[in-house]
Amino acid sequence: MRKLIGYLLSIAVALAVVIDSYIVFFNGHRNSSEASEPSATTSTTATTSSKQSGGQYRNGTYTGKSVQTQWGIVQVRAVIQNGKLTKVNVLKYPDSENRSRQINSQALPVYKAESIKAQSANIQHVSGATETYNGFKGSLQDALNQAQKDSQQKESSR
Amino acid sequence: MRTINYLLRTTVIDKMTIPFTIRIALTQEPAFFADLFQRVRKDIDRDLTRIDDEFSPFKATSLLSQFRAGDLSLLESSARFAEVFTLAQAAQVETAGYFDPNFDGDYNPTGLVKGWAINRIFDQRLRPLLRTPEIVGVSLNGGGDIMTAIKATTDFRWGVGIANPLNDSEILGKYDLANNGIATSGLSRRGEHIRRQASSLQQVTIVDESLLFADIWATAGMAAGTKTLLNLAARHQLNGVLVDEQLGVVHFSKGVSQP
Repeated sequence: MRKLIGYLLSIAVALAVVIDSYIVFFNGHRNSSEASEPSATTSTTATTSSKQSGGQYRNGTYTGKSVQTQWGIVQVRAVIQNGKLTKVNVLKYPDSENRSRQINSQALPVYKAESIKAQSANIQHVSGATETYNGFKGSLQDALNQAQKDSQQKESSR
Repeated sequence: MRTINYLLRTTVIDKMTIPFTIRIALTQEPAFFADLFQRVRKDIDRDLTRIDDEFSPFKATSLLSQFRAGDLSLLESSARFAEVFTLAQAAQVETAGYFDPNFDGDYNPTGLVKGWAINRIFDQRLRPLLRTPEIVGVSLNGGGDIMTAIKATTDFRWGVGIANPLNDSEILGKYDLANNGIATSGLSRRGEHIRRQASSLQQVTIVDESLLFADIWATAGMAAGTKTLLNLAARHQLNGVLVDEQLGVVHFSKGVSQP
């Protein structure tokens, strides 16, 4: 068992070394060409090109930290020329099943189509596109917010 | 059938000219609740102020304005700024370019910042309240973009009406939501100057587990137009409702249009 852990650990270290040297290599060359996606899934290394005074970047590449998203782990790599972003590549780590797993585990939301008066239908929120605070007084949401109680009909419990 | 009465406690915060409604559902109100609710309101107010200070395209001092003026070092110095930047780029790829973080010619993630912020604040400030025995549901609604959650043991559901884009005193239908994010994008949504295809699409609502995801797709859907949106919805198994001048109201579940 201990042997196995040691073995796994050495693989992890080797992998980390490979990832590190990959990043060093990449940024060392300040190469803007596409590189194949790294296969590791947990790298959180942020590396950037060096800065000039005033916060401006020299020509080079910015590699962001990995961010967990609904589409899996993503990381951006931006190419900087004359202090401007000229190109942004999105690196996605192999986890394309992530989204489908999520879809399958989600309970499907139940929709009921009917034009109903909101106040009479156990509604606590309105999802819409136009609401600003100026128009809020007297809005449907404002009216719903006045309710202090909500009555929900349930199947009677046995 | 029997009727169960749940108590609702509600407060509204005015921030970035948007009304943020916090609503909590309870079986009964414990003595400490008023203080708890006050404190949560204050925390959320502070969170929203911070997000406005960081991401407002209208404030010259915001991180976003500084970045747009050429200070790329923010990608390194602010983890939050870098996270939103990464999310915005990923959203563009995942939506076949219809979510465009450069819609005004420069980086502007406004189309997802609100969803990201509400999602994050909700997870941090409101979801944990479900551990309180009397609290069965928590929700946060920022100008029509909403996060909801309920206790695992309750049969309480958050009823969320879909606004009628042609009549703001009416709704078209409702979702009964448990743990969801729901976002709606329309022709008149402010601060979201989407470059659109010519289309008869008037409004898009997307429901998902995450409000960030729902907000990205509602924004992208509005830009794509009805026909492309329905194709994308099928490919990505989206849930939601669209309103089209010609087709009327179309409800789709896992990407499949429902009769």
